[in-house]
Amino acid sequence: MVKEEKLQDMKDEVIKLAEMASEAIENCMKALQNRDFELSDFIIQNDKKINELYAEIENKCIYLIALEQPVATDLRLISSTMSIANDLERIGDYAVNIAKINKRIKEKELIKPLIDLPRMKDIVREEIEISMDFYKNMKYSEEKLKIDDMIDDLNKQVFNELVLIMMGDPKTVDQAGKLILVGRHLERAGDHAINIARRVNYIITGDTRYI
Amino acid sequence: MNVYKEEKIMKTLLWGSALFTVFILIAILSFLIIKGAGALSIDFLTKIPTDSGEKGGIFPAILGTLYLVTIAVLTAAPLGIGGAIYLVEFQREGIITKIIRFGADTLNGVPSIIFGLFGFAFLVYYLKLGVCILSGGLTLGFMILPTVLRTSEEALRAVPRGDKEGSYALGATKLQTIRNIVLPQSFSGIITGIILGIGRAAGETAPIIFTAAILNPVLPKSVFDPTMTLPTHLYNLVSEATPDKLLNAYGTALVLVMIILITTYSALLLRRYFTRNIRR
Amino acid sequence: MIMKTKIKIENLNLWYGTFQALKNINLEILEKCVTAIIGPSGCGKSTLIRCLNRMNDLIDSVRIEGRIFIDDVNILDDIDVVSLRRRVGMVFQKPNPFPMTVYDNIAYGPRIHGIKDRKTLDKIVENTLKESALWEEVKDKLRTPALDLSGGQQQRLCIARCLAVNPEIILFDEPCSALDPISTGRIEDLIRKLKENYTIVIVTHNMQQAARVSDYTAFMYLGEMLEFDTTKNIFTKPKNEKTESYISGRFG
Repeated sequence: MVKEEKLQDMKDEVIKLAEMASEAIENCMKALQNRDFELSDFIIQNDKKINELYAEIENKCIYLIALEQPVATDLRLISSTMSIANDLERIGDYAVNIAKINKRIKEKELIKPLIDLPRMKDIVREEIEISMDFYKNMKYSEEKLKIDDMIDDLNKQVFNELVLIMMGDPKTVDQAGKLILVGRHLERAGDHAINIARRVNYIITGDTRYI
Repeated sequence: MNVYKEEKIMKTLLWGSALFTVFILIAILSFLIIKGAGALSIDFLTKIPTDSGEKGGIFPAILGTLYLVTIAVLTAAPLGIGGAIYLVEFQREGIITKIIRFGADTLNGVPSIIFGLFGFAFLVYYLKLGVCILSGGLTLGFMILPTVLRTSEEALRAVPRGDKEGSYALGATKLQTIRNIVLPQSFSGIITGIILGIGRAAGETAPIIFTAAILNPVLPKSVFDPTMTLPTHLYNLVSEATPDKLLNAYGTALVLVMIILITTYSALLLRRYFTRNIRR
Repeated sequence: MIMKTKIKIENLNLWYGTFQALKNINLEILEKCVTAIIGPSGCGKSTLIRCLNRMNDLIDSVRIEGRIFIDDVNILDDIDVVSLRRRVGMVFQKPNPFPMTVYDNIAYGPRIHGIKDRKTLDKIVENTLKESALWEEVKDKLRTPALDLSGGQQQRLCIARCLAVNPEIILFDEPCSALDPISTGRIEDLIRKLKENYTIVIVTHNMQQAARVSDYTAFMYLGEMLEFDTTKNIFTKPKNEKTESYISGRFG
């Protein structure tokens, strides 16, 4: 393969990894809402595949550096790709965490219908999609990243609601605490997705200021 | 004295030396032309001498010299070039090559009279060839052989190793490489060696006095006949030194120099023609 | 994909007089791959590949022990060296086009081997120049002196000349040392293309070139073969510490 083809191959693998991570985030919340333990198990098992793909991408990047001696944009692309793949793998890990929490919540019924948490999940998925759009097409737009502010707001809202519920009924503390953690995991996932987008900006401009 | 002045003085002295060389050449040529031009005429070049050189032309001598030079080159060229090819392409650098080279260089320094003596003793007397063009030509050939050999050797060595390697790497044999790569590229140098040889062969007197030359103005009919030659005729005329003979002597000298110049120049033209495709 | 062994070097030792330049070399070169040989100056890499087409025969005082099999035939035996050199071509460090026309340069090999038919030679010249990515540049200049071409073009001409005798193996002895970066890049692209049809061995002191171009790499040091592996492994996780030092630029 010529260098150009190898770089495209590397990018394609990253996009595939992003799809897997995004799907995991979708599924973990679905499993939580539907109290689907089988789905949660599936997510936990499937994380192995995510890790394998991540290792493969890293390998490809190392070979590219050793064998092609890339410089300038190519070098930024390859080194950023390793970073981006790492972010995606972490997102996968957060999905696993949420799946594990789902299994640990013993009660059949949730203490409240989930509204804000799924909305956070949707935003996370959108952020992944936006970042991958940037990565695929090597473009960047600060505007589009503003939706991350909404995740922060939603997370605060979730927190306050759950605190109120806990104050009202001590028996809900266990589940509420776990749900607060779910919010935190989703917020962190969102951060990683935003990192990916900022990395693309670095690839394009070489400017390290916003990473 | 400062360095700039020193350099200027040096430059002038060196320039003077170079000029002096050219000056000598021009002096000789002018001398010959002034003194000998009077003797030149169509008759001079085409008729045989009469009254032992007092009158008539020098045609037999011209012919004789040309024959001798031809035989000399025909002897020295194959032997010299062949020997050079052997030394460069077939023999490892070592004792043998050093001996051959030493022998050739020594031979080069042997006085021409000794060649004449050798030619007389061996060719004329021992091999019973008698005094004839063949004896004289061979003697001259032996004399110029080292020159041809050494210059050919230098020319062959100058062929870049890369070209030869390229040829071998394509699967050519040694002979094919020599024929297609080495010889064409060294042609120029080899011709130069032959030119040098011609110059010497045409003008030397001592080797041919005992082996080829006679004073009778008879045209030779075969290589086994003796002949008049320009150097010996010149010598003869000068030793008798009547005014007419002296004039003819200068004329002969002029003709000899002219012949050498013409053959040298023709060889140069030949060289230019054959090497027109070779570019370095 | 199973790769067949094309060249097998067994216990090869070589002396220049009393100096031992190659010490017990063992190496297998696979068919239709590019194998690079790297190492510091004087380690014996050029000496080694020159054994493969018996060019070392041209040097006095060379003594060789060991065996080299090409397709199971030991070429160090008493074989027809002329036909060996047809099968194993060589491109040299300094481009060495003959002082002839472009056409005659390429036709030289075929003519030496008896091909005289004009049409056949024309075809060979055209095909090999196309294979060497030089046709477009010289197709109108076939009768002009080869020495008028630029350095990079001359080297590609030498490659075409080598291809004209239809070799199976091509040896490159530091082919780009004398060339500028653009020409070097072109020759590297050419080598990558050629490996589809020919087995290629390239000696280079430019490690990055070896990394870019080859599938397998051998590291030589002071006449010995210290390590041989896929290029990927050599440049990411070499096993021998000297290999690691050399490719990291710590000596040589």
